[in-house]
Amino acid sequence: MNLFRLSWKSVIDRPLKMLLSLLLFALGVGLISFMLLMDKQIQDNFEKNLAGVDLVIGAKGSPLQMILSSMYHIDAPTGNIYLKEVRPFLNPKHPLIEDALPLSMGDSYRGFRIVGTENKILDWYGVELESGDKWTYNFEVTIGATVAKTLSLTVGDTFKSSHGLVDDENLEHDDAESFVVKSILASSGTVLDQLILTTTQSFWMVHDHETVDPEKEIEDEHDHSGHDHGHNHDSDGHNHSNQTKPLTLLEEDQEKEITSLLLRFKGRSFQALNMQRSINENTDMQAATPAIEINRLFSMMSSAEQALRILAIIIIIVSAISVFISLYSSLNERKYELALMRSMGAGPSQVFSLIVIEGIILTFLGALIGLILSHGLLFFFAEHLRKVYRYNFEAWTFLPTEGYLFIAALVIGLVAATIPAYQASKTDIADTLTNR
Amino acid sequence: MVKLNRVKVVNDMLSLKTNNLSHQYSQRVISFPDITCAKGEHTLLLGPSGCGKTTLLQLISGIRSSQRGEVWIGDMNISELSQSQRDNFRGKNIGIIYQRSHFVRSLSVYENLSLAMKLAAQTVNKDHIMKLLEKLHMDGKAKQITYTLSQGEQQRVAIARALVNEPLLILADEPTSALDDSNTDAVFELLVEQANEVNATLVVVTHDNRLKDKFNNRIEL
Repeated sequence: MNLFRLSWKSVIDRPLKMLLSLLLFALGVGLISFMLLMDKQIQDNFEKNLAGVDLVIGAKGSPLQMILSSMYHIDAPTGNIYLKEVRPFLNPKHPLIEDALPLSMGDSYRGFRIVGTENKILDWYGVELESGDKWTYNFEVTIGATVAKTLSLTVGDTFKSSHGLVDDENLEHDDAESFVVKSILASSGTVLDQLILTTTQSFWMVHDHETVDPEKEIEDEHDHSGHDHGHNHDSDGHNHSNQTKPLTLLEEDQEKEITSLLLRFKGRSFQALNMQRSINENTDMQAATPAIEINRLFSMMSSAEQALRILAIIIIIVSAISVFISLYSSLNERKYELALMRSMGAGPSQVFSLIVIEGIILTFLGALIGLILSHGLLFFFAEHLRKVYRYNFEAWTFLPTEGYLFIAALVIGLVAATIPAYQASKTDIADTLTNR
Repeated sequence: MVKLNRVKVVNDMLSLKTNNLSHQYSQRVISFPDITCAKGEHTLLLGPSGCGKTTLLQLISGIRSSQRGEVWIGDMNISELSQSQRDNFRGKNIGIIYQRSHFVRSLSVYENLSLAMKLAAQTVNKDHIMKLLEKLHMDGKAKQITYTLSQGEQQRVAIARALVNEPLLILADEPTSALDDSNTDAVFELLVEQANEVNATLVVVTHDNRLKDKFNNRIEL
């Protein structure tokens, strides 16, 4: 029967009295831990997906919205831009630009965004293929690891996309061609986990199809049947759209549109900075720097976060007071018991330790429950958060800061218990034992 | 530093001696007659309520420190010890039984006894505790929480607790006043029997006349 067990027995002997302080403490710690977790993982998400992008060019509107939609696939795109407008930036001989990556967005399949782009996006984000080959022809797709897992898609599966970025069956492109899964990406923790990648041209074709005049379509079919023998339509219906390798965007019709263009500079120079200003001033497009916009976003979030943090600290202080009160008020009913222990040979320091350990047990348990709560909450909401942030949240990774949180909890328990413990150790045992 | 090991009384046959002991409460001073008990000798301190019986026991056990006079237990003058030294000495050498038994509420009978050994810095010996409980016919209730026991049973456990460290001196403050006649006899006999077994000196303080004739050594306060 050591002191620790004795303290433990005393705590669980009065479960209801201890429960309030325990839950309060758990709430405070849980809130802080949850904020730390979210903060860390959201920042990680933003950092992992920077992909060395120096500038994003898109339709005019909110620069933050453009960054969020093009880089993180969170918000809606600001609009589309014509190929002829971005033509200079696609030129591989551009003196300032190392590489440019076009993105076309606006369609989705069961909540996952379909992005029309080029194969090199995999190199930009440093993502490997898990199985299959990269998409080459139109209507071929490469899907992210989370997409494959969530929708149970494998190589060779087909699906029809729907218009817009929300999961809505009514918006399905019924009459467009089906997409074929060509490959699945290895899980990378980047936003590519959540995306369906295809060619830019597939996007145009899905939408062109819809604007096709029904009469013309019938005419088309007549046309086709006339040339049946040459095209072998019956065995492979997608023959004529699929099997020609898409042109590069420089060779394409310059009146076509894309959503945005990601740029990597050869080096951050004065001219590069000028280019951003010049795009914003002289064209119908806008250019924005991801790092700057994300910093702006973080600074906007930090004031809300600050308020929450203060709230959590207040809850912890209140719970520390509650630990203090519950220990202090228990002294009165345990006075005789403590005096008895003194009479059996326990020194004042042992009685002091006993009460302090009780305080520490309370805050330790509170912190433990708090951490379980916050991680459990994250686990519970991970799917929802994944949809909102396009990021797989890790519920069961623990941060070093949580370790500090734990140590702080123990210190708070110690401090809250000090006065009751001192009081207990100073009680006059003779008077206590006489006034029974 | 005074050595606090268990006092072994080999040649010295005295186990308790008080000299000129008195205690001052705010309004009055109580003076006590000198008490001398040989080893293994049992003494009854008799007196009406309010005459300071409990105070005397507290002075002897070192729970209350004396302003005047000396208390010798074995060859140790406990009046000279510091508070924590007295706590330590008491745990090892004095077993105390109170009028109403009080235990650590959250612990079982067995755990209360093992706590008594632990607090006296003894190694907890399960066999020893179980044998003791067996002698007091309480072995079947070792796992029970103390406040679920009857008064008589509680008093037996209190006796077991006073004996568990095989003390030199057992002090009993009104051990029978909460008990009926048959329980009084049983508890008293048990007390004497167990005290004899460990060769301890028993000092019983009471106003209970039922115990009066059972002692050869009586001191009226």
